[in-house]
Amino acid sequence: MSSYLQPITKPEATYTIHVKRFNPESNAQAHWETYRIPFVRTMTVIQALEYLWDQNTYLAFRANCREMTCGSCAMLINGAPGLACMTLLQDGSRIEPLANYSVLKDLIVDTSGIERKYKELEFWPKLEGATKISGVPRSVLHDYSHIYSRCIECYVCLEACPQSDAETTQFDGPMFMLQIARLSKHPLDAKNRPRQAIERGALSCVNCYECASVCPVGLSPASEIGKLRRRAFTQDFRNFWRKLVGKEPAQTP
Amino acid sequence: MTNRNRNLGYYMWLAHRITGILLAVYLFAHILTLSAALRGAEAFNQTLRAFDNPVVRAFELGLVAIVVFHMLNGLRLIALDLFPSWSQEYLAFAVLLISLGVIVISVPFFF
Amino acid sequence: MPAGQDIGFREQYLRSLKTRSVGRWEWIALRLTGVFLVVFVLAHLWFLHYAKANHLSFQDISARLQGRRFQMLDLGLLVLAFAHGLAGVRRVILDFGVLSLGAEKALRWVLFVIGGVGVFLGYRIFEAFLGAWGRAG
Repeated sequence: MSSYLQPITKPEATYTIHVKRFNPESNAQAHWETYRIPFVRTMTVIQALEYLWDQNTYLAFRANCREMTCGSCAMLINGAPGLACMTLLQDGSRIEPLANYSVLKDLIVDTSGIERKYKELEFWPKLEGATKISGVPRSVLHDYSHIYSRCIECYVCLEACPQSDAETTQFDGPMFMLQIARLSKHPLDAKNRPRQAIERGALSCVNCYECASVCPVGLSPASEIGKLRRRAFTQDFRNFWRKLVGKEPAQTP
Repeated sequence: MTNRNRNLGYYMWLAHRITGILLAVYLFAHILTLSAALRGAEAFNQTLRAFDNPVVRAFELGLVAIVVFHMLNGLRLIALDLFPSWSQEYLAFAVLLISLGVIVISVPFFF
Repeated sequence: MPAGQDIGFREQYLRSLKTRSVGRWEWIALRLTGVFLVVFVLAHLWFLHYAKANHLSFQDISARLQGRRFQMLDLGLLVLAFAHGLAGVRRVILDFGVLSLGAEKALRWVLFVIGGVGVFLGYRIFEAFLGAWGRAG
């Protein structure tokens, strides 16, 4: 651990942090522990947790890149979901695991439900029938990579959304809607993504834009949900009209 | 239910739900008070006279505030559904300002 | 708090689709009734409170309700208000995610009954205003 961490030779102050700990083997209940951390300017939450490891306090947490790229270190800091590697340490910080998911140990939560959803959603371009799309492929007209692929899949938006949690599966969550939006721009993808978004609960979004306000990379899943919803209804109206006037339903979603 | 800073859109949503419930409750209360009409014109006019005091007027003004907010925020939600790239925060500020304006203008109508 | 998932994820998801997911019709209905209500409520408030400045009586209302347009306004408002209001209440309750499948179906019936009673009562009041024109009360 300490190979990643500069030794704190001249701390400016000593901060107190509170961490919610849970050990499935020893204690039954999660409980808060208080630690004192020597503080230097620009210290982040992750560095505080690493400091604890240096002091042989083996607090379990997920971390990898430490630069807002991998999305591993999502947790609740002072009640707000965020990435530990980009949240500056404050005196009296309360650090706890994400509330929407079962806790495996200390700050590590069970994200297997999220990972299973990836399989359900078929997050790869559906290639059958792609050659039948007429006209200019959608993504040629729109360079989407700088928008959607910024998502680092950190689950912070899933935590912040009031309509999605691990239990009620009526709405998969903002992150998945963003992925559906990204795939809908792929030129080879023939699956009806707006319809898939509706089936995965896009109508449950209440436009609170909490996902947009907590996203560490500045994406707005709520706007993407709105665009998918609008496309789904436009499809429906267009197909309804076509059926009314005796035409075939449109091929391109 | 953690205490943390949430964006304005979240509180607009919360207020929309709360005002919605309040209005649903008011709808019943309104029908019930109006049912005095079933007992004849005099009973109804008596009820109206009983409600003709400053406390009830203040309550009615509060009701106008609730109705206006719920209505304008509802229109904001529809606008966001139709035009997802519009700024939800700008619309939220517009809703709050217009609501305030309508309430202020309405005061002389009630007092 | 999340519980352990003993049933498969797919089964859970399919079950939830039958209960609390927002259907397309419900979603559109709330917005459509809402838009019409904007017009009806503003008109109602204007004619009842702002134009008359609170000088109302049974006779005033009765006279106003002789007009066809006002009749449509009031009845339309009655039906739309209950439709929008009860659909909204249902959405708030379901979004808490605590109702079982059976309870959700029961809620639907309860709300229909409440709506029916409310509209019926409102219509009787409407009739009471209509029928009394010309009499001193």
